[in-house]
Amino acid sequence: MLKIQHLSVNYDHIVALQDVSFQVDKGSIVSIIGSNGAGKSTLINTISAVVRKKSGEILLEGAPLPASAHKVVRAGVVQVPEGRHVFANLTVTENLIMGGARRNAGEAARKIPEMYKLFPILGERKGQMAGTLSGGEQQMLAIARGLMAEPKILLLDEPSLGLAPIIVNQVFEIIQKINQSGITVLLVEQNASKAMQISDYTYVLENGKVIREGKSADLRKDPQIQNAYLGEKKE
Amino acid sequence: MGPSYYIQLLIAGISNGAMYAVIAVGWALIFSILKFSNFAHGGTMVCAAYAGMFLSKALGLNLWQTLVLAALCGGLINIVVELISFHRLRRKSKNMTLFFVSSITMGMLLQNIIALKFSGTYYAYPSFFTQRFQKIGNLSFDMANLVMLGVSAAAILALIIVLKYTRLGISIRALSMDARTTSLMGVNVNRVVLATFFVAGALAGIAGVFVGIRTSLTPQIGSLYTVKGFMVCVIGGLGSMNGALFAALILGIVETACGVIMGTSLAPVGTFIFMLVFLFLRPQGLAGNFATEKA
Repeated sequence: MLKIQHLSVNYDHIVALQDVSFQVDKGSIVSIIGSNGAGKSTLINTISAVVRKKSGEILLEGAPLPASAHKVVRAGVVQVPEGRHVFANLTVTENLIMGGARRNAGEAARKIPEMYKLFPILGERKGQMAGTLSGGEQQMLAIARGLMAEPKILLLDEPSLGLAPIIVNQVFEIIQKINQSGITVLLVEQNASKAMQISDYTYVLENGKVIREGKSADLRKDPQIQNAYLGEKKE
Repeated sequence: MGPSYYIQLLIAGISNGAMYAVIAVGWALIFSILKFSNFAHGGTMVCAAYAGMFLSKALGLNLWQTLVLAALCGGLINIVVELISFHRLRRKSKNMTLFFVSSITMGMLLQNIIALKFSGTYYAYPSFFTQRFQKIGNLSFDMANLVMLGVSAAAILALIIVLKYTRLGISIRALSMDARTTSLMGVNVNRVVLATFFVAGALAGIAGVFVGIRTSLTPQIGSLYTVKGFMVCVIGGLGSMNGALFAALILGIVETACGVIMGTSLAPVGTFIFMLVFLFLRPQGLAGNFATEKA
Protein backbone atom coordinates (compact mmCIF):
# COMPACT_ATOMS: atom_id res chain seq x y z
CA MET A 1 0.00 0.00 0.00
CA LEU A 2 2.70 2.46 1.08
CA LYS A 3 6.07 2.14 -0.58
CA ILE A 4 9.14 4.17 0.27
CA GLN A 5 12.01 4.00 -2.19
CA HIS A 6 15.53 5.29 -1.66
CA LEU A 7 14.37 8.14 0.52
CA SER A 8 16.98 10.66 1.68
CA VAL A 9 16.41 13.74 3.81
CA ASN A 10 18.86 16.42 4.92
CA TYR A 11 18.53 19.15 7.50
CA ASP A 12 20.87 21.73 6.01
CA HIS A 13 24.09 19.71 5.96
CA ILE A 14 23.08 17.07 8.43
CA VAL A 15 21.98 13.80 6.91
CA ALA A 16 18.76 12.68 8.63
CA LEU A 17 17.71 9.82 6.37
CA GLN A 18 19.86 8.00 3.87
CA ASP A 19 18.53 5.77 1.15
CA VAL A 20 15.66 4.39 3.22
CA SER A 21 13.40 1.89 1.50
CA PHE A 22 10.53 -0.08 2.96
CA GLN A 23 6.94 -0.96 2.37
CA VAL A 24 3.74 -1.34 4.30
CA ASP A 25 1.32 -3.95 3.01
CA LYS A 26 -2.37 -3.29 3.01
CA GLY A 27 -4.07 -4.31 6.26
CA SER A 28 -0.83 -4.86 8.17
CA ILE A 29 0.84 -3.20 11.10
CA VAL A 30 4.43 -2.30 10.36
CA SER A 31 6.66 -0.92 13.08
CA ILE A 32 9.79 1.12 12.78
CA ILE A 33 11.95 0.97 15.84
CA GLY A 34 15.13 2.76 16.70
CA SER A 35 16.70 4.87 19.39
CA ASN A 36 16.43 8.61 19.86
CA GLY A 37 17.71 10.51 16.85
CA ALA A 38 17.62 7.50 14.54
CA GLY A 39 15.41 9.44 12.14
CA LYS A 40 12.05 7.90 13.00
CA SER A 41 10.10 11.14 13.33
CA THR A 42 11.86 12.60 10.31
CA LEU A 43 10.67 9.61 8.34
CA ILE A 44 7.05 10.03 9.37
CA ASN A 45 7.14 13.78 8.85
CA THR A 46 8.61 13.33 5.39
CA ILE A 47 5.77 10.99 4.46
CA SER A 48 3.34 13.63 5.79
CA ALA A 49 5.14 16.27 3.68
CA VAL A 50 5.90 18.39 6.72
CA VAL A 51 9.59 17.81 6.07
CA ARG A 52 10.91 18.06 2.54
CA LYS A 53 12.70 15.08 1.05
CA LYS A 54 15.99 15.40 -0.78
CA SER A 55 15.50 12.45 -3.04
CA GLY A 56 13.57 9.22 -3.33
CA GLU A 57 9.96 8.32 -3.78
CA ILE A 58 6.96 7.87 -1.56
CA LEU A 59 4.18 5.93 -3.25
CA LEU A 60 0.66 5.27 -2.05
CA GLU A 61 -1.02 2.51 -4.01
CA GLY A 62 1.50 3.10 -6.77
CA ALA A 63 1.00 6.86 -7.07
CA PRO A 64 3.43 9.42 -5.62
CA LEU A 65 2.14 11.29 -2.58
CA PRO A 66 1.58 15.04 -3.01
CA ALA A 67 4.14 17.48 -1.62
CA SER A 68 1.93 19.50 0.73
CA ALA A 69 0.75 18.29 4.11
CA HIS A 70 -2.97 18.83 3.71
CA LYS A 71 -3.03 17.02 0.37
CA VAL A 72 -1.28 14.02 1.87
CA VAL A 73 -4.09 13.81 4.42
CA ARG A 74 -6.65 14.07 1.64
CA ALA A 75 -4.92 11.20 -0.12
CA GLY A 76 -5.66 9.09 2.96
CA VAL A 77 -2.34 9.17 4.81
CA VAL A 78 -2.97 10.54 8.28
CA GLN A 79 -0.43 11.20 11.01
CA VAL A 80 -0.96 11.11 14.75
CA PRO A 81 1.98 13.30 15.78
CA GLU A 82 4.51 12.63 18.49
CA GLY A 83 3.64 14.39 21.71
CA ARG A 84 -0.06 14.19 20.75
CA HIS A 85 -0.43 17.87 19.84
CA VAL A 86 -4.10 18.05 20.64
CA PHE A 87 -5.48 21.58 20.29
CA ALA A 88 -5.36 22.49 23.98
CA ASN A 89 -7.87 25.33 23.87
CA LEU A 90 -10.41 23.51 21.74
CA THR A 91 -12.93 21.14 23.27
CA VAL A 92 -12.69 17.41 22.68
CA THR A 93 -15.52 17.63 20.15
CA GLU A 94 -13.88 20.56 18.36
CA ASN A 95 -10.65 18.57 18.15
CA LEU A 96 -12.57 15.78 16.46
CA ILE A 97 -14.22 18.27 14.09
CA MET A 98 -10.72 19.42 13.11
CA GLY A 99 -9.75 15.80 12.52
CA GLY A 100 -12.62 15.50 10.06
CA ALA A 101 -11.73 18.75 8.32
CA ARG A 102 -10.87 17.05 5.05
CA ARG A 103 -14.32 15.47 4.77
CA ASN A 104 -17.70 17.03 4.25
CA ALA A 105 -19.23 18.44 7.40
CA GLY A 106 -22.21 16.08 7.53
CA GLU A 107 -20.13 12.91 7.17
CA ALA A 108 -17.67 14.14 9.75
CA ALA A 109 -20.44 14.96 12.22
CA ARG A 110 -21.86 11.45 11.88
CA LYS A 111 -18.45 9.98 12.63
CA ILE A 112 -18.10 11.70 16.00
CA PRO A 113 -20.50 9.42 17.96
CA GLU A 114 -18.60 6.47 16.51
CA MET A 115 -15.44 7.82 18.09
CA TYR A 116 -17.16 8.22 21.43
CA LYS A 117 -18.18 4.60 21.23
CA LEU A 118 -14.62 3.51 20.54
CA PHE A 119 -13.25 5.87 23.23
CA PRO A 120 -15.94 6.17 25.92
CA ILE A 121 -13.72 8.39 28.07
CA LEU A 122 -13.70 11.02 25.33
CA GLY A 123 -17.49 10.96 25.21
CA GLU A 124 -17.58 11.73 28.91
CA ARG A 125 -15.26 14.66 28.39
CA LYS A 126 -16.56 15.97 25.08
CA GLY A 127 -17.20 19.52 26.25
CA GLN A 128 -13.90 19.80 28.09
CA MET A 129 -10.87 21.66 26.76
CA ALA A 130 -8.38 19.12 25.39
CA GLY A 131 -5.61 20.73 27.42
CA THR A 132 -7.29 19.62 30.65
CA LEU A 133 -7.21 15.92 29.71
CA SER A 134 -4.63 13.51 31.15
CA GLY A 135 -1.76 12.34 28.94
CA GLY A 136 -3.48 9.04 28.18
CA GLU A 137 -6.75 10.72 27.33
CA GLN A 138 -4.94 13.17 25.08
CA GLN A 139 -3.31 10.26 23.25
CA MET A 140 -6.74 8.66 22.77
CA LEU A 141 -8.03 11.99 21.47
CA ALA A 142 -5.09 12.35 19.09
CA ILE A 143 -5.78 8.87 17.71
CA ALA A 144 -9.54 9.49 17.47
CA ARG A 145 -8.85 12.79 15.73
CA GLY A 146 -6.66 10.94 13.23
CA LEU A 147 -9.40 8.37 12.60
CA MET A 148 -11.89 11.16 11.88
CA ALA A 149 -10.13 11.66 8.55
CA GLU A 150 -10.95 8.03 7.59
CA PRO A 151 -7.36 7.17 6.78
CA LYS A 152 -6.27 4.40 4.47
CA ILE A 153 -3.10 4.30 6.47
CA LEU A 154 -2.53 5.73 9.92
CA LEU A 155 0.96 6.90 10.87
CA LEU A 156 1.51 6.78 14.61
CA ASP A 157 4.54 8.61 15.96
CA GLU A 158 5.55 7.38 19.42
CA PRO A 159 2.05 6.81 20.78
CA SER A 160 3.42 5.42 24.06
CA LEU A 161 5.64 8.40 24.82
CA GLY A 162 5.30 9.63 28.39
CA LEU A 163 2.42 7.34 29.31
CA ALA A 164 2.08 5.02 32.31
CA PRO A 165 2.58 1.32 31.44
CA ILE A 166 -1.06 0.43 31.98
CA ILE A 167 -2.16 3.20 29.63
CA VAL A 168 0.44 2.11 27.10
CA ASN A 169 -1.21 -1.31 27.06
CA GLN A 170 -4.59 0.28 26.40
CA VAL A 171 -3.19 2.38 23.58
CA PHE A 172 -1.65 -0.64 21.91
CA GLU A 173 -4.88 -2.60 22.26
CA ILE A 174 -6.67 0.21 20.52
CA ILE A 175 -4.11 0.27 17.73
CA GLN A 176 -4.76 -3.44 17.17
CA LYS A 177 -8.49 -2.82 17.17
CA ILE A 178 -8.11 -0.06 14.60
CA ASN A 179 -6.03 -2.34 12.44
CA GLN A 180 -8.65 -5.09 12.68
CA SER A 181 -11.22 -2.61 11.39
CA GLY A 182 -9.24 -2.52 8.15
CA ILE A 183 -6.90 0.42 8.58
CA THR A 184 -3.26 -0.11 7.74
CA VAL A 185 -0.90 1.10 10.46
CA LEU A 186 2.65 2.38 10.36
CA LEU A 187 3.92 2.56 13.91
CA VAL A 188 7.05 4.39 14.90
CA GLU A 189 8.14 3.52 18.41
CA GLN A 190 10.98 3.63 20.88
CA ASN A 191 9.18 1.03 22.91
CA ALA A 192 10.46 -1.72 20.65
CA SER A 193 9.13 -4.61 22.68
CA LYS A 194 5.54 -3.39 22.56
CA ALA A 195 5.77 -2.40 18.94
CA MET A 196 7.08 -5.78 17.87
CA GLN A 197 4.39 -7.55 19.88
CA ILE A 198 1.57 -6.07 17.85
CA SER A 199 3.22 -5.55 14.46
CA ASP A 200 3.54 -7.98 11.57
CA TYR A 201 6.81 -6.64 10.21
CA THR A 202 9.54 -4.49 11.70
CA TYR A 203 12.26 -2.25 10.32
CA VAL A 204 15.12 -1.12 12.53
CA LEU A 205 16.35 2.37 11.88
CA GLU A 206 19.74 3.59 13.04
CA ASN A 207 21.53 6.82 12.10
CA GLY A 208 19.07 7.42 9.29
CA LYS A 209 19.49 4.00 7.71
CA VAL A 210 17.47 0.80 7.79
CA ILE A 211 19.90 -1.66 9.37
CA ARG A 212 17.60 -4.64 9.90
CA GLU A 213 14.20 -5.81 8.84
CA GLY A 214 12.09 -8.90 9.24
CA LYS A 215 8.92 -10.38 10.57
CA SER A 216 8.38 -8.97 14.03
CA ALA A 217 8.10 -12.46 15.53
CA ASP A 218 11.52 -13.41 14.10
CA LEU A 219 13.26 -10.20 15.08
CA ARG A 220 12.05 -10.54 18.65
CA LYS A 221 14.01 -13.77 18.96
CA ASP A 222 17.14 -12.31 17.42
CA PRO A 223 19.79 -11.99 20.17
CA GLN A 224 21.32 -8.88 18.62
CA ILE A 225 17.99 -7.09 18.59
CA GLN A 226 17.25 -8.32 22.08
CA ASN A 227 20.51 -6.86 23.30
CA ALA A 228 20.22 -3.54 21.56
CA TYR A 229 16.53 -2.76 21.74
CA LEU A 230 14.73 -5.06 24.13
CA GLY A 231 17.10 -5.09 27.08
CA GLU A 232 18.41 -8.59 27.81
CA LYS A 233 16.11 -9.69 30.57
CA LYS A 234 13.03 -7.75 29.70
CA GLU A 235 11.30 -10.33 27.57
CA MET B 1 -25.93 69.35 33.05
CA GLY B 2 -28.02 66.62 34.59
CA PRO B 3 -27.48 62.87 34.51
CA SER B 4 -29.03 62.65 31.05
CA TYR B 5 -26.08 64.58 29.67
CA TYR B 6 -23.65 62.07 31.07
CA ILE B 7 -25.69 59.15 29.79
CA GLN B 8 -25.61 60.66 26.31
CA LEU B 9 -21.88 61.13 26.65
CA LEU B 10 -21.39 57.57 27.83
CA ILE B 11 -23.37 56.19 24.89
CA ALA B 12 -21.33 58.35 22.51
CA GLY B 13 -18.15 57.00 24.12
CA ILE B 14 -19.32 53.41 23.88
CA SER B 15 -20.27 53.90 20.22
CA ASN B 16 -16.85 55.34 19.57
CA GLY B 17 -15.30 52.41 21.39
CA ALA B 18 -17.41 49.91 19.45
CA MET B 19 -15.89 51.23 16.22
CA TYR B 20 -12.39 50.82 17.70
CA ALA B 21 -13.39 47.35 18.73
CA VAL B 22 -14.20 46.43 15.13
CA ILE B 23 -10.70 47.53 14.10
CA ALA B 24 -8.97 45.95 17.09
CA VAL B 25 -10.72 42.61 16.86
CA GLY B 26 -9.59 42.25 13.26
CA TRP B 27 -6.10 43.16 14.37
CA ALA B 28 -6.16 40.62 17.19
CA LEU B 29 -7.41 37.97 14.78
CA ILE B 30 -4.39 38.40 12.53
CA PHE B 31 -2.06 38.55 15.51
CA SER B 32 -3.44 35.30 16.88
CA ILE B 33 -2.61 33.35 13.72
CA LEU B 34 0.59 35.12 12.59
CA LYS B 35 1.84 35.98 16.07
CA PHE B 36 2.65 39.31 14.61
CA SER B 37 0.87 42.62 14.21
CA ASN B 38 -0.19 43.61 10.72
CA PHE B 39 0.70 47.28 10.47
CA ALA B 40 -1.00 47.52 7.10
CA HIS B 41 -4.38 47.26 8.84
CA GLY B 42 -5.00 51.01 8.77
CA GLY B 43 -3.93 51.13 5.13
CA THR B 44 -6.55 48.55 4.25
CA MET B 45 -9.09 50.52 6.25
CA VAL B 46 -8.42 53.82 4.50
CA CYS B 47 -8.52 52.22 1.03
CA ALA B 48 -11.83 50.52 1.81
CA ALA B 49 -13.22 53.75 3.24
CA TYR B 50 -12.39 55.67 0.05
CA ALA B 51 -13.69 52.85 -2.13
CA GLY B 52 -16.92 52.76 -0.14
CA MET B 53 -17.33 56.51 -0.41
CA PHE B 54 -16.81 56.64 -4.18
CA LEU B 55 -18.99 53.63 -4.85
CA SER B 56 -21.69 55.00 -2.61
CA LYS B 57 -21.67 58.34 -4.43
CA ALA B 58 -21.40 56.87 -7.91
CA LEU B 59 -24.11 54.29 -7.45
CA GLY B 60 -26.31 56.23 -5.05
CA LEU B 61 -26.14 53.50 -2.43
CA ASN B 62 -27.75 53.57 0.97
CA LEU B 63 -25.78 52.98 4.17
CA TRP B 64 -26.29 49.21 4.26
CA GLN B 65 -25.25 48.67 0.66
CA THR B 66 -22.24 50.89 1.25
CA LEU B 67 -21.23 48.92 4.34
CA VAL B 68 -21.45 45.63 2.47
CA LEU B 69 -19.39 46.92 -0.45
CA ALA B 70 -16.79 48.55 1.79
CA ALA B 71 -16.50 45.32 3.77
CA LEU B 72 -16.02 43.39 0.55
CA CYS B 73 -13.37 45.86 -0.66
CA GLY B 74 -11.59 45.73 2.70
CA GLY B 75 -11.58 41.94 2.60
CA LEU B 76 -10.19 41.80 -0.93
CA ILE B 77 -7.55 44.45 -0.27
CA ASN B 78 -6.43 42.53 2.80
CA ILE B 79 -6.09 39.36 0.75
CA VAL B 80 -3.79 41.26 -1.61
CA VAL B 81 -1.87 42.51 1.44
CA GLU B 82 -1.40 38.95 2.64
CA LEU B 83 -0.31 37.66 -0.74
CA ILE B 84 2.21 40.46 -1.26
CA SER B 85 3.53 41.15 2.23
CA PHE B 86 3.29 37.92 4.15
CA HIS B 87 2.70 34.92 1.94
CA ARG B 88 6.28 34.15 1.02
CA LEU B 89 7.65 35.53 4.24
CA ARG B 90 5.55 33.15 6.30
CA ARG B 91 7.13 30.18 4.58
CA LYS B 92 10.68 31.41 4.25
CA SER B 93 11.38 33.33 7.40
CA LYS B 94 10.64 33.54 11.05
CA ASN B 95 12.41 36.86 11.48
CA MET B 96 9.94 39.23 13.09
CA THR B 97 11.73 42.33 11.87
CA LEU B 98 10.90 41.34 8.31
CA PHE B 99 7.20 41.02 9.11
CA PHE B 100 7.30 44.40 10.78
CA VAL B 101 9.03 46.12 7.87
CA SER B 102 6.92 44.35 5.29
CA SER B 103 3.60 45.23 6.88
CA ILE B 104 4.51 48.82 7.69
CA THR B 105 5.76 49.33 4.13
CA MET B 106 2.56 47.88 2.76
CA GLY B 107 0.50 50.15 5.00
CA MET B 108 2.42 53.25 3.94
CA LEU B 109 2.14 52.20 0.31
CA LEU B 110 -1.64 51.85 0.52
CA GLN B 111 -2.00 55.14 2.33
CA ASN B 112 0.22 56.93 -0.17
CA ILE B 113 -1.61 55.52 -3.16
CA ILE B 114 -4.68 57.21 -1.70
CA ALA B 115 -2.72 60.39 -0.95
CA LEU B 116 -1.31 60.49 -4.48
CA LYS B 117 -4.75 60.29 -6.00
CA PHE B 118 -6.95 62.15 -3.59
CA SER B 119 -4.92 64.39 -1.29
CA GLY B 120 -5.68 68.07 -1.16
CA THR B 121 -9.40 67.48 -1.35
CA TYR B 122 -11.54 66.69 1.63
CA TYR B 123 -14.00 63.98 0.87
CA ALA B 124 -17.03 63.22 2.94
CA TYR B 125 -19.56 60.45 2.85
CA PRO B 126 -23.01 61.39 1.64
CA SER B 127 -25.35 61.97 4.56
CA PHE B 128 -27.20 58.72 5.01
CA PHE B 129 -29.45 59.92 7.77
CA THR B 130 -32.47 62.07 7.09
CA GLN B 131 -32.76 62.73 10.77
CA ARG B 132 -29.52 63.51 12.55
CA PHE B 133 -30.69 63.01 16.10
CA GLN B 134 -32.90 60.48 17.73
CA LYS B 135 -34.78 61.36 20.89
CA ILE B 136 -35.43 58.60 23.37
CA GLY B 137 -37.27 59.94 26.44
CA ASN B 138 -35.46 63.13 27.33
CA LEU B 139 -32.20 61.84 25.88
CA SER B 140 -31.01 62.79 22.44
CA PHE B 141 -28.59 60.63 20.48
CA ASP B 142 -26.58 61.17 17.36
CA MET B 143 -28.03 58.78 14.76
CA ALA B 144 -24.62 58.02 13.29
CA ASN B 145 -23.40 56.96 16.71
CA LEU B 146 -26.38 54.72 17.34
CA VAL B 147 -26.10 53.02 13.98
CA MET B 148 -22.35 52.65 14.44
CA LEU B 149 -22.92 51.02 17.82
CA GLY B 150 -25.53 48.66 16.41
CA VAL B 151 -23.54 47.67 13.34
CA SER B 152 -20.30 47.24 15.28
CA ALA B 153 -22.00 45.07 17.87
CA ALA B 154 -23.62 42.98 15.13
CA ALA B 155 -20.32 42.60 13.28
CA ILE B 156 -18.50 41.47 16.41
CA LEU B 157 -21.31 39.12 17.34
CA ALA B 158 -21.21 37.62 13.85
CA LEU B 159 -17.45 37.16 14.19
CA ILE B 160 -17.86 35.41 17.54
CA ILE B 161 -20.47 33.07 16.07
CA VAL B 162 -18.22 32.25 13.11
CA LEU B 163 -15.24 31.60 15.40
CA LYS B 164 -17.20 29.49 17.82
CA TYR B 165 -19.48 27.42 15.66
CA THR B 166 -18.23 27.12 12.10
CA ARG B 167 -15.54 24.85 10.75
CA LEU B 168 -13.67 27.88 9.43
CA GLY B 169 -13.79 29.42 12.90
CA ILE B 170 -12.56 26.26 14.58
CA SER B 171 -9.78 26.02 11.99
CA ILE B 172 -8.77 29.62 12.69
CA ARG B 173 -8.59 28.88 16.39
CA ALA B 174 -6.67 25.65 15.77
CA LEU B 175 -4.27 27.51 13.50
CA SER B 176 -3.64 30.11 16.18
CA MET B 177 -2.52 27.28 18.50
CA ASP B 178 -0.51 25.04 16.20
CA ALA B 179 -0.09 25.60 12.48
CA ARG B 180 1.73 22.38 11.75
CA THR B 181 -0.79 20.13 13.42
CA THR B 182 -3.58 22.04 11.69
CA SER B 183 -2.07 21.13 8.34
CA LEU B 184 -1.84 17.51 9.52
CA MET B 185 -5.63 17.61 9.83
CA GLY B 186 -5.88 18.06 6.07
CA VAL B 187 -6.55 21.77 6.41
CA ASN B 188 -5.10 24.01 3.75
CA VAL B 189 -3.42 26.45 6.12
CA ASN B 190 -2.79 29.06 3.44
CA ARG B 191 -6.46 29.18 2.63
CA VAL B 192 -7.42 29.64 6.28
CA VAL B 193 -4.87 32.45 6.58
CA LEU B 194 -6.39 34.14 3.52
CA ALA B 195 -9.90 33.74 4.91
CA THR B 196 -8.77 35.27 8.18
CA PHE B 197 -7.27 38.22 6.33
CA PHE B 198 -10.51 38.61 4.42
CA VAL B 199 -12.53 38.69 7.64
CA ALA B 200 -10.16 41.18 9.29
CA GLY B 201 -10.18 43.35 6.16
CA ALA B 202 -13.97 43.30 5.98
CA LEU B 203 -14.13 44.48 9.59
CA ALA B 204 -11.63 47.23 8.77
CA GLY B 205 -13.81 48.25 5.83
CA ILE B 206 -16.88 48.56 8.05
CA ALA B 207 -14.93 50.64 10.55
CA GLY B 208 -13.61 52.76 7.68
CA VAL B 209 -17.11 53.71 6.59
CA PHE B 210 -17.96 54.94 10.07
CA VAL B 211 -14.70 56.85 10.37
CA GLY B 212 -15.64 58.51 7.08
CA ILE B 213 -19.16 59.27 8.19
CA ARG B 214 -18.09 60.88 11.45
CA THR B 215 -15.17 62.87 10.12
CA SER B 216 -14.01 63.69 6.63
CA LEU B 217 -11.73 61.30 4.80
CA THR B 218 -8.02 62.01 4.61
CA PRO B 219 -5.25 59.57 3.70
CA GLN B 220 -3.71 60.09 7.15
CA ILE B 221 -6.48 58.28 8.93
CA GLY B 222 -4.69 55.14 7.76
CA SER B 223 -1.67 55.64 9.98
CA LEU B 224 -3.71 57.23 12.76
CA TYR B 225 -5.93 54.19 13.07
CA THR B 226 -3.00 51.83 12.69
CA VAL B 227 -1.54 53.45 15.79
CA LYS B 228 -4.85 53.38 17.63
CA GLY B 229 -5.59 49.80 16.63
CA PHE B 230 -2.15 48.68 17.76
CA MET B 231 -2.52 50.58 21.03
CA VAL B 232 -5.86 48.99 21.76
CA CYS B 233 -4.43 45.54 21.10
CA VAL B 234 -1.41 46.12 23.32
CA ILE B 235 -3.60 47.43 26.10
CA GLY B 236 -5.96 44.53 25.68
CA GLY B 237 -3.08 42.08 25.79
CA LEU B 238 -1.81 41.20 22.30
CA GLY B 239 -3.73 38.43 20.62
CA SER B 240 -6.55 38.44 23.17
CA MET B 241 -9.92 39.01 21.57
CA ASN B 242 -11.75 39.85 24.81
CA GLY B 243 -8.93 42.09 25.92
CA ALA B 244 -9.09 44.00 22.64
CA LEU B 245 -12.86 44.43 23.01
CA PHE B 246 -12.64 45.91 26.48
CA ALA B 247 -9.61 48.05 25.67
CA ALA B 248 -11.45 49.46 22.65
CA LEU B 249 -14.44 50.42 24.76
CA ILE B 250 -12.19 52.05 27.33
CA LEU B 251 -10.36 53.97 24.60
CA GLY B 252 -13.66 55.13 23.11
CA ILE B 253 -15.00 56.38 26.39
CA VAL B 254 -11.74 58.04 27.46
CA GLU B 255 -11.43 59.75 24.10
CA THR B 256 -14.98 61.06 24.23
CA ALA B 257 -14.49 62.27 27.78
CA CYS B 258 -11.21 63.97 26.87
CA GLY B 259 -12.97 65.63 23.95
CA VAL B 260 -15.48 67.19 26.32
CA ILE B 261 -12.99 68.15 28.99
CA MET B 262 -10.07 69.32 26.86
CA GLY B 263 -11.73 70.13 23.53
CA THR B 264 -11.50 67.96 20.41
CA SER B 265 -8.14 69.29 19.26
CA LEU B 266 -6.44 68.36 22.52
CA ALA B 267 -8.36 65.12 23.06
CA PRO B 268 -5.70 62.86 21.47
CA VAL B 269 -3.13 64.19 23.94
CA GLY B 270 -5.34 63.18 26.85
CA THR B 271 -6.02 59.81 25.28
CA PHE B 272 -2.38 59.01 24.66
CA ILE B 273 -1.42 60.10 28.19
CA PHE B 274 -4.11 57.80 29.55
CA MET B 275 -2.74 54.90 27.48
CA LEU B 276 0.83 55.53 28.64
CA VAL B 277 -0.24 55.62 32.26
CA PHE B 278 -2.24 52.46 31.76
CA LEU B 279 0.73 50.61 30.27
CA PHE B 280 2.95 51.91 33.04
CA LEU B 281 0.62 50.44 35.63
CA ARG B 282 -0.28 47.25 33.80
CA PRO B 283 2.33 46.43 31.15
CA GLN B 284 0.90 42.95 30.57
CA GLY B 285 -2.33 44.41 29.23
CA LEU B 286 -5.90 43.76 30.31
CA ALA B 287 -5.90 40.08 29.40
CA GLY B 288 -3.07 39.46 31.86
CA ASN B 289 -0.95 36.95 30.03
CA PHE B 290 1.32 38.97 27.85
CA ALA B 291 1.41 37.08 24.58
CA THR B 292 4.93 36.80 23.27
CA GLU B 293 5.68 37.54 19.67
CA LYS B 294 6.38 34.56 17.46
CA ALA B 295 9.71 33.03 18.40
